Amino acid sequence: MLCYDYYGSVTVVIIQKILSLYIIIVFLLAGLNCHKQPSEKHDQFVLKIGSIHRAKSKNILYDNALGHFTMISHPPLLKLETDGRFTGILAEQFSYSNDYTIWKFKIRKNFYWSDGLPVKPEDIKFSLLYKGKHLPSRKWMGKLIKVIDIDQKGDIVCTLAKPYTRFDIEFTSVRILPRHIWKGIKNPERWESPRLYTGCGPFIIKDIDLNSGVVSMVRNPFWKGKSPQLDRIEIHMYHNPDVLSLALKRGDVDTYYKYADTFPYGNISSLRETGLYKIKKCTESGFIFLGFNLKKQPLDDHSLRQAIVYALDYQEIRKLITKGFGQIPQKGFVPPYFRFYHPTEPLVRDINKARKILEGSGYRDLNGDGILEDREKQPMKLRLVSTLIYTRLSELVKDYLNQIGIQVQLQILDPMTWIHTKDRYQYDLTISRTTPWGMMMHAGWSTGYFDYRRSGQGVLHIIDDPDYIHLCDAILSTKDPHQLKVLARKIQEYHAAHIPAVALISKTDVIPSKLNLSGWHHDPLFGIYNLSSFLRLKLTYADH
Amino acid sequence: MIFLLGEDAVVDPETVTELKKELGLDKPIHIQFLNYFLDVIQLDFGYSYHLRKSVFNIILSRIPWTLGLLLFSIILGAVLGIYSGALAGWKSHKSMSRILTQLNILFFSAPPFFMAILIMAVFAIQLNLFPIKGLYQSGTFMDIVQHHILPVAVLTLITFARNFIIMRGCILQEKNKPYVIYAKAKGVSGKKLLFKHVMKNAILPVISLLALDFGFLFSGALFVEIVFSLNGMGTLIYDAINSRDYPLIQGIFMIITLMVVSANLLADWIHQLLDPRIRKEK
Repeated sequence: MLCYDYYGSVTVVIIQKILSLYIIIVFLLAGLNCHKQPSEKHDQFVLKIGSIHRAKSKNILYDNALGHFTMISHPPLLKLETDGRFTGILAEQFSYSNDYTIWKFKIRKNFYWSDGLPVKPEDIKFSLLYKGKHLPSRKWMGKLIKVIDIDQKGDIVCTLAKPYTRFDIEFTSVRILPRHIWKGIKNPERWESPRLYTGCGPFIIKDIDLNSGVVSMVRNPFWKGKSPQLDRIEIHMYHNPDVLSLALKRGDVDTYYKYADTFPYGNISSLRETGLYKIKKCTESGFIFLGFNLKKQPLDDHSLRQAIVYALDYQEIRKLITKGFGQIPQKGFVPPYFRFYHPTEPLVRDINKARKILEGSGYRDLNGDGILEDREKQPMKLRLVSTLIYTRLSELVKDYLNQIGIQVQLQILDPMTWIHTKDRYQYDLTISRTTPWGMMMHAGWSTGYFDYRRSGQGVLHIIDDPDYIHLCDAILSTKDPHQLKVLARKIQEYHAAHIPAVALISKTDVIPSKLNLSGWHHDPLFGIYNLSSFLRLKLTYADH
Repeated sequence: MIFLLGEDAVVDPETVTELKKELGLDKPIHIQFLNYFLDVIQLDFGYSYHLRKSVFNIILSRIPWTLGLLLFSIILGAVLGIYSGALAGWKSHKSMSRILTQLNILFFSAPPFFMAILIMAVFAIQLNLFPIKGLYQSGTFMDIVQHHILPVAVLTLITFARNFIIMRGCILQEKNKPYVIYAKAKGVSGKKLLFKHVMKNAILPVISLLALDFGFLFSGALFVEIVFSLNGMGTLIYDAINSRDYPLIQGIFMIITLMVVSANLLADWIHQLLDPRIRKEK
């Protein structure tokens, strides 16, 4: 029997008991469970993909992350091959009229929705009209497509309101929906139901659990194409890339996926040490670039832009930012793997040349304080704006410009403020990136980032030079490869000569994959996350 | 608008105008503001443009997880911090007291995300004892508990360190006051004197701070939720701010304010219970 002679002792004993109980419970739980993964059938081949794309709702039509993930459950009509050609997924073949106003798609007959019904041309027609009506990002489609018909052969015929040569590119990302499921839904933005997961790809969504952070996909029972070895795909969503790297290190997931991005370079060596992964180098996913505000002084001055290009240390950027995995681009602002790539002047550091150009253009240090004065005899001070992920790179750029006597006021902004600032041209310099889709948009060859008639999240819209606009329009008016080759060369030469932006580094996508997995395919637009990958993937030995 | 559309989406100005009309953003600002307050009275905090759901429903789905996390951490951090802080202040000359004080200053100064990553690296990655992601995996009770141990431990450590430092300081101030010397002269023994007399006076500032913890810990929870990939209020606030989801931001802060005010009322009541001087003033 316990007997306490004063109040204090009772409190102490109770607290001690609570503490010991807590410690016992914690370690008992830890010891008993030792982080067991839920048991899986031994013969099941489950691919676990770690991603920092995070689904924030279960709405497959509106959620950005689910938009990426459902590319394999709701495949589009076409896909882009690495050589720049378009081939069919749901469409067997496609053709267009000479004036690019009538586009015809022949639909494959061996695609079935996961509820057993065949994919019909009506589903494609419905998807185009439905998205054009409901999705803000696809409203242009509703305006561009005048009529959609299904001809006697069952082909889809789109008649456009005006000639459009890039219609095929758009169909690499338009997911097709089952008409019989979606036709009664008037407010798709408010709908979240497992019934809407009905897809026609080899894998369909089984469950989206936001609290556990897992999107599960299983085989489509009515898939008639090549049979995949994979039984299930789990996409594990992490909020932080470093934690995802730790999860990979522990072997929790098999690979890493982020659209248009690489596994963090800084974590590669520690992952290699585990001996669990092979590190696959893919083609570059895009540039990180320094954009110049051509719309106002002083960066409307070509000589100043030229001097800045020579002041930057590309080798050091490659070493520090991409840990040696990136490639140093050229002035043409188009990567070598791109169709009709044309070599232009390589980017090299020449600080003396930079100084000479500045001096020759009237930028001189008049008072000997190490800072150049401009033509109005005011100290040179440029405003560089970027977002948090480019902080280190922005500091490097600031340092390089300081070395040639240009002061830089660095402002790190949140993404929304950056967009606001960029769209109002309230900057001199800015750092951003290109994406595979971005390089293809508008007239392609990165023109979508520069043409002043464009708008969008990463678009600078800084060139209103009639020569450039004419070049873009010329590209947009043809699909003739010979003409395109000539025009693509001219666009790249224009970029090299006028320098609207300088590509600081071309990132090489580095993707870790468990040693026993083989068969990955790298899609030029969507990286490793594509139908071919999941249909080809196999285990190279049987202890998965 | 851009966050509604995605990274590579390009829309024309007409679509933006249509969207603004659809979302009621084309009305004058004072009308929007008045409409908002009329709705708030009916517990309608509006509609999240970004998540496309009612703000009230979104908060309702997230808040139980974060509250669970916070309540455990606040209670554990308070019990442990007050108890060990009192002992450390009472026996300040002992080397254990000095070591604990240094350690707690270290814990309190360390950024929460750093603490979270460190604890995760040791207990989850090196020792492989705990999961590192999500609120659960299979959804069983044990599974949920196991997923919460590390996040609760991190938040507990933060509140524990803070309470320890404050409690120790308060005890150091109190222990040389005349009533303590008088009690000692009367022969009241060490622990009885500490826990029955000194602690009652020293604990008051800690109670006030505990009430404020409800607001403060939401920001602490943000880092912990990001590190442990938890779908709670912290990440909801973070996402709402990043995507400028104003109805959601307003709704969340309204709820947090209500909680902090309620916690302060509770703290005032506890003050009255513990301190006869406040009762007398009333």
